[in-house]
Amino acid sequence: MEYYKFENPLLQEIYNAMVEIDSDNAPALAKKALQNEVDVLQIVDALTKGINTVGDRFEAMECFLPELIIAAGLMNEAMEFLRPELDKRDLSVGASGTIVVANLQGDIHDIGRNIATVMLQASGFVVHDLGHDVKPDLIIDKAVELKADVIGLSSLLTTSLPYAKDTINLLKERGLREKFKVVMGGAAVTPDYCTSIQADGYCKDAAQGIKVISSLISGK
Amino acid sequence: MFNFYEILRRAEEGPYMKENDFDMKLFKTATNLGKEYSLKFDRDVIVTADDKMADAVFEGGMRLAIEMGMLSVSTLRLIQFNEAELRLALKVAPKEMLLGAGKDARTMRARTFGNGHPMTVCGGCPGTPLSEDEFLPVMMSYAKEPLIDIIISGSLTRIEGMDVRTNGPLEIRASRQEMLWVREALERAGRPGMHIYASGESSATELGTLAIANEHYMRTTDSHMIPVLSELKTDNARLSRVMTGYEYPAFTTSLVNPIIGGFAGGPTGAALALAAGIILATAAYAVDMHCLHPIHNKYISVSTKEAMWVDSIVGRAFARNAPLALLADAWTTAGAGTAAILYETAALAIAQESSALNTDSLGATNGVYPNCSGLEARFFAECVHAAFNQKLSPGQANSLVLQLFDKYKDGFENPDYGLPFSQVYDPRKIVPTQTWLDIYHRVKDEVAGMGLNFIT
Repeated sequence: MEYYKFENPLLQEIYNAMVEIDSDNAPALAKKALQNEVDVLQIVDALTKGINTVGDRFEAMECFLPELIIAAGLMNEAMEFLRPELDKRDLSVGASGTIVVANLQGDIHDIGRNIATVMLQASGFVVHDLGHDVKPDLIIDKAVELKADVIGLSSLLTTSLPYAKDTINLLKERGLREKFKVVMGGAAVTPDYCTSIQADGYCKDAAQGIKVISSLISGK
Repeated sequence: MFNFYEILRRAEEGPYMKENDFDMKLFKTATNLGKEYSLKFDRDVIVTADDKMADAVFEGGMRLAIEMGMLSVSTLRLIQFNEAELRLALKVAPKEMLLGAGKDARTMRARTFGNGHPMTVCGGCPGTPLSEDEFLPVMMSYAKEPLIDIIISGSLTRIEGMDVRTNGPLEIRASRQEMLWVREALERAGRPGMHIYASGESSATELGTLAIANEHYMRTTDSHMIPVLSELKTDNARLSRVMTGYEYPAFTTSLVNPIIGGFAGGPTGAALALAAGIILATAAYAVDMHCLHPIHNKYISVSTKEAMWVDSIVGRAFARNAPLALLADAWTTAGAGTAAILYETAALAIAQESSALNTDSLGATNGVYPNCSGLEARFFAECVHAAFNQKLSPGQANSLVLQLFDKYKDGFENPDYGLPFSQVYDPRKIVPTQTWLDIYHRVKDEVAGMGLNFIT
């Protein structure tokens, strides 16, 4: 696991505050850094590295889902006032892509999707979480509306998997299949199943999902 | 049991709470309780003998249950209980029951340490997707195993070429067909009265339970399952299953599956959430049994050190403080036809038997692939009986489990899913292939060499 070192002590404090989670100081420290004329891109970098370390610690079971969610909230809070600064200077932190995620129709198991959502956000993706038990046509409507690059489908239930096939078939019927990459994850999903329904990617877990989605978007 | 209408009333009129607030409150409360009771997970002590910590898990679980209650996500209302209500529910919960009928009936016990009885062994393939072609022979492979006391079904995923879908009409048909075929498997094995645990595995919703609540399908000597949603939540679909059981007198079992690394935190938080979930399900669902299934947030399997420890400490906690009929799931990463599944099987069997638990069977490949068979269930039962007869101390059991863990630990990252039933058994004769038997004998000899004295 990589713990980062920064030359600027304020950036180190921001990073540490993110990683320690207990403290909710990260946004205040980011604001202080901005007031002290630290480069906004460096501040965003410290925050991003911080949340990535939290993600790594979660993978290693050194911290837990609520802490991951709290860290993502701190990051979002800081970005609220950092984003206008970036815009002013016509800078972009370059969202890696836009994803809509949902649990398939009939499936109410949120936790895996929650983990994936937070980990993807931490990796720089814009993630729209549509929740659980979502019908295929609604998933597609939202992907169109939000100009998504990727549709992420999750299921813990074997009996909800057929709705993934429905989603892909409906994308084809609506002439939208080429617009979106479709990836799947969840305890009931297998690589073979993804292949059988012509999904674009299988995500064994959130960490692999980041790699799969990054690769799909870069090759899109 | 409580008047169930009172539970429904609380689910409609209890205090309002947003789900996110409930989740975060759980984390904070479980974390604080873990610190207050000095709960610690030690990766080298999987089968625990720590009575003080076990008692702390029980008391901490009780306090968590009182503090949190159970959230109905249908109404966002808290079903709350006071301590007296929860302790009364534990007191009046069944301690012993006869499952099944006639000569095939077996006693399920709320186990305690040293009460002279081994666990009740459930065999089957819960959660495993099975086709119409393979369903009957797979279930016969379990029914034919004499050391299996009760049976649990896999899930029928297609009917007449169509997918069974959550909340779809085929959930009804699949659940009914599942029961008919499991009963046929039992009859053909000469054990027609055997208890079918968690009937209706082919349906994820209350449709299945309602569909089979009829002597033609689920007999009153069988049971059905009512899950607690992770963590400490329920909904109208779960409560509808309770309502079904309220008027149809089959046995009932909860399913409590805290996620290790999830909203309750790490292993110690998951142990508290499991204890609290069992207590709340006893009060809210009035179930006869409980299925324990801690889930590792990355590897799913119960054969991880974290999950086996959670089961062990919770088994000890209830055996000492409020014995209940607890059945632990034994889901493995590996599949049939591999040595790895047998190492996982032995570790789980020894850990569960030594922690005063019963078992709710193996779920090979975590229930993802139909790579399962009766042979690994036979091995599970043999390990259980060996551990029981040998009167393994927790320390001896722990030493064996750690040796076995080293044998299969690499499989979490690179699983060996093994082979489907039709490639490890002759599906006409319902006997294992020689190759699969050879692997079984080799691993059994190896485990015997580690110090487990098999009876046969």
